[in-house]
Amino acid sequence: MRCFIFKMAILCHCILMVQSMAFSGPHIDDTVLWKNVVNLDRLAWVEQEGLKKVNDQINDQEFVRRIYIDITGKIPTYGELLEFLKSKNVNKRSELIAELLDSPGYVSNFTNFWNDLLRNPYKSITSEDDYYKEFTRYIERFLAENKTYDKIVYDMLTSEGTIQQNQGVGFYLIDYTTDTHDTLNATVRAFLGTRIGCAQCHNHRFDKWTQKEFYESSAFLYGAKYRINYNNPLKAVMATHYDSFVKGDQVKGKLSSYSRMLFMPSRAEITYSPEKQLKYPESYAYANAKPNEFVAEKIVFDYGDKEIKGKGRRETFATWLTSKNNPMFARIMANRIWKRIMGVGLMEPVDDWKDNIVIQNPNLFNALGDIFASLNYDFKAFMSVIFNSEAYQLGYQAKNVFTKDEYKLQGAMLKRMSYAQLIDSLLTLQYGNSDDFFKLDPQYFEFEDKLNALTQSYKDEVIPLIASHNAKYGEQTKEIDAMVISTMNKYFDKLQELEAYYQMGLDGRLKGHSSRQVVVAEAKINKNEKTMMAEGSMKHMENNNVMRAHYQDNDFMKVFGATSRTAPDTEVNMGATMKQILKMMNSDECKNVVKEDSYLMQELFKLDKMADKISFLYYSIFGRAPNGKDLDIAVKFFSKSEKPERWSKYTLALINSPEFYFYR
Amino acid sequence: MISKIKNLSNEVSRKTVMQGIAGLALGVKVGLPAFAASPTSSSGGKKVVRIFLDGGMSHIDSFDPKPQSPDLMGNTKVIETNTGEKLSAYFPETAKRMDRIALVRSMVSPEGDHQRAVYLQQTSYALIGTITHPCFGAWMQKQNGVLNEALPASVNITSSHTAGFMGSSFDPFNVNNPKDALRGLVMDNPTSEESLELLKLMADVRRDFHKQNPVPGADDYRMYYNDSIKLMQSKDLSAFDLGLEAKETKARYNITHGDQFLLARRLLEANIQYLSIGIGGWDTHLNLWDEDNFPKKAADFDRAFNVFLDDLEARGLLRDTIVSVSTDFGRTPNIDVIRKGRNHHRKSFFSILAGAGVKKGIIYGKTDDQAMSVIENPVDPINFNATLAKLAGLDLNKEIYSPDNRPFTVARGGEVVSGLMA
Repeated sequence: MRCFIFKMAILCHCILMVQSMAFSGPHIDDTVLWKNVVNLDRLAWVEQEGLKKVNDQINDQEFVRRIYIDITGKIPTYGELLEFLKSKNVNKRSELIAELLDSPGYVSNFTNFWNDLLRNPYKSITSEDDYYKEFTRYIERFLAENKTYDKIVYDMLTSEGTIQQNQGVGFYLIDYTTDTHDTLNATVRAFLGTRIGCAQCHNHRFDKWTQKEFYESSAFLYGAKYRINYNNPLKAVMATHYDSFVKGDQVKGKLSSYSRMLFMPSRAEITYSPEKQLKYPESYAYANAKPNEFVAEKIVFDYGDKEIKGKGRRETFATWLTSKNNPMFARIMANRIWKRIMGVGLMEPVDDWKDNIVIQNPNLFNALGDIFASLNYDFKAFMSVIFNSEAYQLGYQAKNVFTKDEYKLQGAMLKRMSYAQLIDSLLTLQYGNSDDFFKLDPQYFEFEDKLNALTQSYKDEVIPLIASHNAKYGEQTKEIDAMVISTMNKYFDKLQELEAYYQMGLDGRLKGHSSRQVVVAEAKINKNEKTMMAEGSMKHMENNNVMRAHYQDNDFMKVFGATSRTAPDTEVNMGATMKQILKMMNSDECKNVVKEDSYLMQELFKLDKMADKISFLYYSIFGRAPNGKDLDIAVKFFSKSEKPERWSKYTLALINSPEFYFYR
Repeated sequence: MISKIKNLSNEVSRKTVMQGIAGLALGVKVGLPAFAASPTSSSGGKKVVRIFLDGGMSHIDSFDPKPQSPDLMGNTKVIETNTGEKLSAYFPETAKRMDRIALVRSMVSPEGDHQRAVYLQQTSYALIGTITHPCFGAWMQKQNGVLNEALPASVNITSSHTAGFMGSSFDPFNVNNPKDALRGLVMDNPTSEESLELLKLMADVRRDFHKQNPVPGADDYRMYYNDSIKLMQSKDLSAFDLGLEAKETKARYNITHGDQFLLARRLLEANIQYLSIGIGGWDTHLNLWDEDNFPKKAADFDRAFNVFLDDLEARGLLRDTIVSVSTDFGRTPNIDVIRKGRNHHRKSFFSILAGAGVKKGIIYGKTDDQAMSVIENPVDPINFNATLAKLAGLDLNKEIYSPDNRPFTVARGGEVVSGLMA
């Protein structure tokens, strides 16, 4: 009976997921939007003494390139750029903002942000911990649904179950080798913008946190039981009974990967035991508590409603943290978003709040938090306020350049693209707007949900079955219960059905490529017209949009400053190094853009006149028209020859200009 | 290129540039060092090669066999070394050269988890969420500067630890494929007419951007363009090219792991002062004695390790190089009968030291008859690192500060094991 209810619950969950999977735009109506924009701009300028607006509003060319990079994480294609520039619609800027917030590009761009913030590893620690992939999908989902910030954090903090029951447990699984102290530390740093972690071992030398306060905080989250189970009970059984499982050619060759596919998601699980209580450590040396004494949880921060109570310890903490009574919750994230967009936070660093901290424009800092909270923590609504504001839309002037310390809201800074923006922009040149080939439609999560439901039911049905089989017969015996075989075959059949229906190679999914990549590579999903797929399919592409590529040291990402994801760090490393230059000149990532079969080069070769070609390249790469000097350089270079490989060389030179990978 | 620029942060700051320009004014040739950001080495020029056997090599099947406990030995046989000691028969080459190394049989670690164990050995600190500690190579660069400015100070070969909070300018250079180490980083024929034409075009195309945006963030790229071209055209990079090695030597290294060790030797000769080499496959929970498992892997490592050391010795490189071999932890002397392997065992395992300043031909420390616990001279990873640091000429007491003002030392206050020093 329990099993049935459980299965029904999964089914309902699936249906719910499918229904709500359409893309959500910002939920904000115009009056509310513009009221907040005006408020923001007023606070930015009027209430600051001595602060004068010195820059003009950004022009359309700079705006369109900037907004695409800031929202979708990549440059616009030539077509997208021209469409915007040609439009005479007076509302075109704010309409473009809404459109882009509503696009898959927003999801993939901010998935990087959240993966960095939540320390989701690039690759598994051991060969079989794939929860990080599931957790990335969790993030994509809540971004696609535009789930509100308070709910996101609350749900993650109170999550429980296997990875396929609740992908949010990835939030806790990250710390399975070090326990929940690190989770608490990361939580406080990410969402409250302050660092309590040093106090884990001793009273903080430079700030007020005591070790007791650290333990009182950590007690809220304490009690997680991590189960990472390496032992696939089916493996030994299959090894001995291989032939029984393989029906003709159907499953042959895939048996091992199917078995892994079914087993893997169950391996990682978080259960929460409230009876597991935190004690002060053996080494505790201060007079205010005794070693090995139980810790009484307590809110040690000066904001929010300390009397709040939830169902259990974690719920209490999560309620206190995300409640509207706690202005810090909104302010810290609002500041992070501001920094991501403008290049500099109002509070810097974004996660090191101390009692004596100096904040530029504290009224604006507070107001940003208030705006975010008043919009019910709707990210897209909040971001549209910032993007539509004058503060954002001021132009960049080299003569009014300022440093991080002197930042005075004169529009966004001249910024180098982050590693993610750079890679995605290169991919855009190489493939066109990759999101055209992939709309994050119900199919994407639907396949996932069905697979998760299947693996959950596998866990409930098959694992106990195998366990009792092994108990009865031993693992290596030749005898096998017929029921085991027929049950297993039932699951293999279902897996094959899923694979065929969605045309998604499970192998691709196993090997660490996202199913999104596999969807792109397989050109047809014949049963559903809603999904737009490329005819004459695209080759399997390294879609770094969601950063699922296995993180390999010294690869392009790392060279351009990818964070290590060991701390909640959304700071994008912009420092120049020689290796970066070498990569821009010599890497495959750049050379692929100028290969004759790339999207960029193919579009280029459709044009006849030299002037048109140069213009096309300048718009595609820099977002502007070539000037006289640019044309002179080109003419001189092509006087030698105009063969395609000359064009490749020329285009590589253009990409190597910092004008490409900086934006204003 | 003599650089007078000290830079301890991971971004080139305006101050650095100003110092550089000042240097020019004094008539001193100044350029930004290729990969490192530190002054030329001022120490005795010691180099370190750390070999990490990833996964936890079984000590009882390798360097601490127990013929007196045959029930624990599985299929592993025992041979005699050239110093009259016993070694596993899977390591015949090492057995013939025991007089060259110091073998530690008394390693003990607090960590039984791969990630935590390796982290402790690489950094001397425990894995913790708040900070990433620097690897040994980063410490060497921090204290000693670099030996060859045209090249990275340290290199990871199929290994990957970073400089953590010290910043990316102290990160070792990572090589995943020794045969193609500079993939994606250099031009073929950077001085050919074609390449020079491309480089000139690149300079022309970006000139105006630099002129119009003389801001620190963007201007750094202008400077680095010039220096990276110089680097691409420099002869020092040939150290990474295995193809240039003499035919006879190449033949000797034409074995499993040969490429990793050959590259290491070439880089040592080019004065790269720290190399970390990762060799995996030792996590033998399952089917340890299968022919293609431990026996083969052991033979491969044994052969390659000794080809490497023989070569270093012949070229006189062992005089100023310290070579160490570490592994996560040992493996249970009690055999796991179901899985036919051994599981993690942190209470006793081995490590090896050889080279400059190391006492030769000794076995340090002892385990009981079951290879279960250390009964003499325990050495933990922090003390091992302290010893390595001392051998490399590093200052054990010098504190550096992380960005959030916490103090750290290279071996976390570990004690030097004097019994290992010559």
